[in-house]
Amino acid sequence: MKVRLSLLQQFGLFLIVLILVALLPAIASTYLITFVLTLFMYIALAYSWNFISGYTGYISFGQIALFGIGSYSCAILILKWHIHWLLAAAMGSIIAGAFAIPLGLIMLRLKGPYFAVGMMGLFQFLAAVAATWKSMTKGATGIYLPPVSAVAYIYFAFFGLALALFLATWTLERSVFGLRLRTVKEDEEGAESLGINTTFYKVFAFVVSAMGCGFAGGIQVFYVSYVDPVTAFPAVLNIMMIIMCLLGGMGTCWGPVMGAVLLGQVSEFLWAHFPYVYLILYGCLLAFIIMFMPSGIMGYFHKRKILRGGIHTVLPNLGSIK
Amino acid sequence: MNETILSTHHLTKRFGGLLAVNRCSFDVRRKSITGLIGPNGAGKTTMFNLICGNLKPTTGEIFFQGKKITGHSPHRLARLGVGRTFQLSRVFKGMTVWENLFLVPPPADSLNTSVNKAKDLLHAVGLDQLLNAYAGTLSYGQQKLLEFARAFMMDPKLVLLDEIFAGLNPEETERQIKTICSFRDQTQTTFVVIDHAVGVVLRLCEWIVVMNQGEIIAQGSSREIENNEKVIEAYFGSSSLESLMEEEG
Repeated sequence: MKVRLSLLQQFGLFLIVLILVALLPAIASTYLITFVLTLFMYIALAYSWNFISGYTGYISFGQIALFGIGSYSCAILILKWHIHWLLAAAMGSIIAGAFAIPLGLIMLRLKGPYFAVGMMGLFQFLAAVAATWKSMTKGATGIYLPPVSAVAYIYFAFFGLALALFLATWTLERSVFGLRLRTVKEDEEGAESLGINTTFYKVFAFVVSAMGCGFAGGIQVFYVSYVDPVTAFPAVLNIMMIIMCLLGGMGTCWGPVMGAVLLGQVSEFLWAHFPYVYLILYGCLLAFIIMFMPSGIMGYFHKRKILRGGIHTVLPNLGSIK
Repeated sequence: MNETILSTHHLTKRFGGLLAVNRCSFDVRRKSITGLIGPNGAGKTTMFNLICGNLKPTTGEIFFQGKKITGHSPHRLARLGVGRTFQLSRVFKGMTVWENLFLVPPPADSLNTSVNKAKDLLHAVGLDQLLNAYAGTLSYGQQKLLEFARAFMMDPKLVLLDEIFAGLNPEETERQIKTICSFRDQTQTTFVVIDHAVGVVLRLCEWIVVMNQGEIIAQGSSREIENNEKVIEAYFGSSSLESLMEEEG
């Protein structure tokens, strides 16, 4: 079996999804809306993580640090300057991105496990800073914001973010820029010898990832109307975005959305039906995935040749090459 | 045309207590094919890594086209025109042959010229039938050819070839020698070659630098090197170089 959709079919499918998403808040129950909204956040985070770790191979165990920076920036902007929440979230995203430039230049010198653990340490460090810097963050008491009136706005904000990150990934997969970004994962030294400034490429990916995480953090903080060090730096979400990517397939265009939707639903189902043992079942499922599908769902499809594997870079027509 | 393109001046690299390269000075003439030979551990690859910016020298200077390039980053040097291939092939295995060439940032030319350039290069090394094959599925010899072709995507002025003949069969070796010579004639590129196949290096290169234990022990034309006692001693203790060449066929 081989699945291959024409560009028109792909566009049609995309349009149907778009219409469904747009209509959902009008027809669905509040429970369903909040559930889908959370899925969108998962998708956005999974794509953010995929940007740095999926494409460059620098596995980050602390990308949630930038979610936290976005959360706090947004909360403080709303509280102190009464900025519109969406603008505040966008500014939180920019702050997280700006923070990621020096951070990336320093952290991305570390390789493999050192980078992974370094990022984890950073996220713990920032949580500690948030807990102690009381004049700014109000410490463990947390910052309270006015409650949200309409969930639909949050829903569309998360959808927009997830869509933007998906489109960015889609474009990346088809660009020479993306090809160069992948060389970081394949062989950095080899890429350098070809005139590719690998530092620029990986820091760029890190900053995009940070902006995605920061934006998600900003929207989330407005949604829950509260932020403290634990909600700004949620350890569970930190791991979830990694696992979603692994499940869907790292460094693929469709992997993060598949992983996020699937895992989001499975964890909701298990939580609702087996409240006492759901974490055990969840763990078993993950072990199963890692043992039998180490390269994720997309990797499985590529291996079975159901979908075209590898890169989709649009290269010039080679018909005349022979 | 005896102008110098690359010169090193008292280049030294120390790894802790080990002097990998010790006060080495040599010049490479423009458009020449220069060989860098020496027994295992002589410091040849370290020398390449210093020139290409992968390692920073402890002391000493490197000049490329008259400009000091000591301590430049590898990608900057690559853009200045210093290309290289690696001892163990470093093609991007998860990408196709075509993608491997295409991702190289073109020096200044348009997409069309770089497409044509890639075509010509693949044709020159005989990989034009394997465009869409993943580089990881190629034989080791083919990967080396791909790496060689790829180095020319940036229009380098100087290309350092680290054991380009290792893993090639005799037929491929002959073809590679021809390719290097024709590239030199057509593109005016200068080559520096490291290889263990001393016979091939003596045949290919007009100027040879011999290293042993981090130091340059001899420089000269093939004939001078063949009869240099220090070189013979470094390789065999006291035997003659001819016997090694015969062994290699």
